[in-house]
Amino acid sequence: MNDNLSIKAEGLAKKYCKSLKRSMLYGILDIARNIIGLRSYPEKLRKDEFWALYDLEFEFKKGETVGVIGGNGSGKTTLLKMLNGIFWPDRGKLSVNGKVGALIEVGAGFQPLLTGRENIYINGAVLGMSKSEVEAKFQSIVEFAEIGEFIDVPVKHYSSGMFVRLGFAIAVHSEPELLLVDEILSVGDEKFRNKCQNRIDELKKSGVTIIYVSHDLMSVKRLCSRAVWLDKGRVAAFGAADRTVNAYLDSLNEVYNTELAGKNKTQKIRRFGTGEAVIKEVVFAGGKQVFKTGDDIIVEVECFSEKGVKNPLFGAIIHSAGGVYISGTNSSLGEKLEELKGRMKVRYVFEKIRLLPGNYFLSLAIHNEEGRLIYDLHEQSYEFMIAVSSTEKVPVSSGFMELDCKWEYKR
Amino acid sequence: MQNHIQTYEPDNCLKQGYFSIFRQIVNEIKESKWLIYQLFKRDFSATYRQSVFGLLWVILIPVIGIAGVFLLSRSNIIDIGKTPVSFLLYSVSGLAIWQIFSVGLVSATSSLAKAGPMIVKINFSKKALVISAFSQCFVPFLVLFAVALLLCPGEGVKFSAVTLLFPFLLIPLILFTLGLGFLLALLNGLMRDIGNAVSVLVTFLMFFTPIFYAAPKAGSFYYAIKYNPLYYLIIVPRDALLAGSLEHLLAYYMAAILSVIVFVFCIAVFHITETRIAERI
Repeated sequence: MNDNLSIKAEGLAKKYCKSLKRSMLYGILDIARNIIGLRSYPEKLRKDEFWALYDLEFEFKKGETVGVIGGNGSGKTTLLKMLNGIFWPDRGKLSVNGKVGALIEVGAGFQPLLTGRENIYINGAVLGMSKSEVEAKFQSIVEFAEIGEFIDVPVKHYSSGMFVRLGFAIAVHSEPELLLVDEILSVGDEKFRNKCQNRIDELKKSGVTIIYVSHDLMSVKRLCSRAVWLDKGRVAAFGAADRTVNAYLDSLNEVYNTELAGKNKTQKIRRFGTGEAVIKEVVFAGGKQVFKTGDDIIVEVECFSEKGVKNPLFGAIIHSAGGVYISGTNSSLGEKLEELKGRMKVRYVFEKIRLLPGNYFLSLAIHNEEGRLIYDLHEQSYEFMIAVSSTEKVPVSSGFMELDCKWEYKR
Repeated sequence: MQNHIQTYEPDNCLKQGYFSIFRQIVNEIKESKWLIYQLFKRDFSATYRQSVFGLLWVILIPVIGIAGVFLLSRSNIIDIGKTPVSFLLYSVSGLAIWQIFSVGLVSATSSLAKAGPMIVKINFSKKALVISAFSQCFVPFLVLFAVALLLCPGEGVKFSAVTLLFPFLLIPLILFTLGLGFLLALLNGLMRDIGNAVSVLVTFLMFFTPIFYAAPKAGSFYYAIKYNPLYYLIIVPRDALLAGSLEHLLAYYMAAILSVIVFVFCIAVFHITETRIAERI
């Protein structure tokens, strides 16, 4: 392996067994084969086994920060465990250069009855620190964890925040050359999260290679230079963090689109009205139901009235997924229709929608001119989604809506 | 930054050859000395901290056993034979040595399964875990040994040069137990039945080892004991302590050689296969 590489995976694969009993049996068989000096043929799948990771090929350079993204069950944690040397490959080869530290569920191995002080020594030893190393860093660990006088209290009396802080403090003091980080920034309070973030940045600057697993795609873009996207145990994309995250987001949007389309078809419509005029069918133009802030959303509504209704008005309301009424409007704003008789298509166009990422529900209605008599109302029946924009590095606003505003500075 | 490249491949040990593994094992244990001590301290404190009597329990349980056997023999229900020293000293010293085997084996066997959550999250020496769990046996051993030592002067036991051999005579028993502990810990990691079976077996074996009774000179029980290597591993150190004499030396040497073989074989098996345990624990 090249000297400036930190990790190299060649055809790396890992299999799991779905059945616990069979896994036991296979374990004993493999051990028995190894004892008598036979190979265990791990590259072959037996009954109930499947590949959790398959054929991974990548090289991480020293000092780079690489993000690992992908849905649940895509193999991210398995990969981290392999990089950490906890799980061994069943196929291929993995080379790791340098001391590995892991921020994965920190505080594992704490003995609740023992004090913070004792646990620092034990955990330090477990994480591969020597006695003199722990002693030299003891004060710094205590300060970082902000444990203070609680250092001599059994850790079972710690708050969950203190517990995690102590675990994190020990882990970052083990001076790794390669740091594995798994969703760690989602624990602790805001202040401590900030501190962790700073510490990780410091390590990054000092040349530590960081492997960062997260569902927070924005933070992956911000922190990482490159990213691996895992999909069902295989590398779906590996390259610049921006590009990889965007590719992942685009694929997610496709999935959401199919899911929403299916859901809107099967969903029972909550409706009421006199029935003098009815909404027959509602489709999002182009079959697209996942949009981005700033897109045009076009809804095509097929209406029908046998008797005919004079001066009908069409209304549309948007609710958030949580049921908050965001905005409602009707066709009295624009060109009016004198009569609806027979079949008719009404196009409803939201220009440059200002909604921020999230799921939303559309209600549609036909009513009379005063709005008191409702012919047909489909209440919160059509779901659509505003996806996270893949071009944006940092979200610039939050909430439901983007507003026109600017910042001005005066001295 | 020094380069330390670790390579993970399936069947790693087979590729590197059988002999390199012993060097790896020795290095790993040497590097984990402090870790073993810390893990030992953790388990020790956790066992005795939230308890009023603490170490007294270590004496209390054997004392009840000894008292029970003593009462049974007094009422002629069982025959404990003629012990060379008083029954109390005989059984306390025997039990002390027995703890190395019984407590050591049971605690080593359950070590990996018990530490399961930690094993799947942190990469650390699993050998250190087994050794530290095994070392828990020295707590009851030392406590009972101290009681035996206190009893010795009153019984007229005289210490001689042979007495000094006592700690060294325990080494084969330690290797035998630790070796088995490695193998059983691994198997118990895969199948929890092993841990239960070991607990039952250890209790059962105690009755086949002359701790509470003098070794019979004839009968079927005599043969059961005669071919039990544990018998020699326990009785020879005990005789050295109580009688200052070394008997059954040939059998003891054979048992010692067997212990070394068991130890080397089991630790090698453990080393080759420990990489598979984390995902199945």
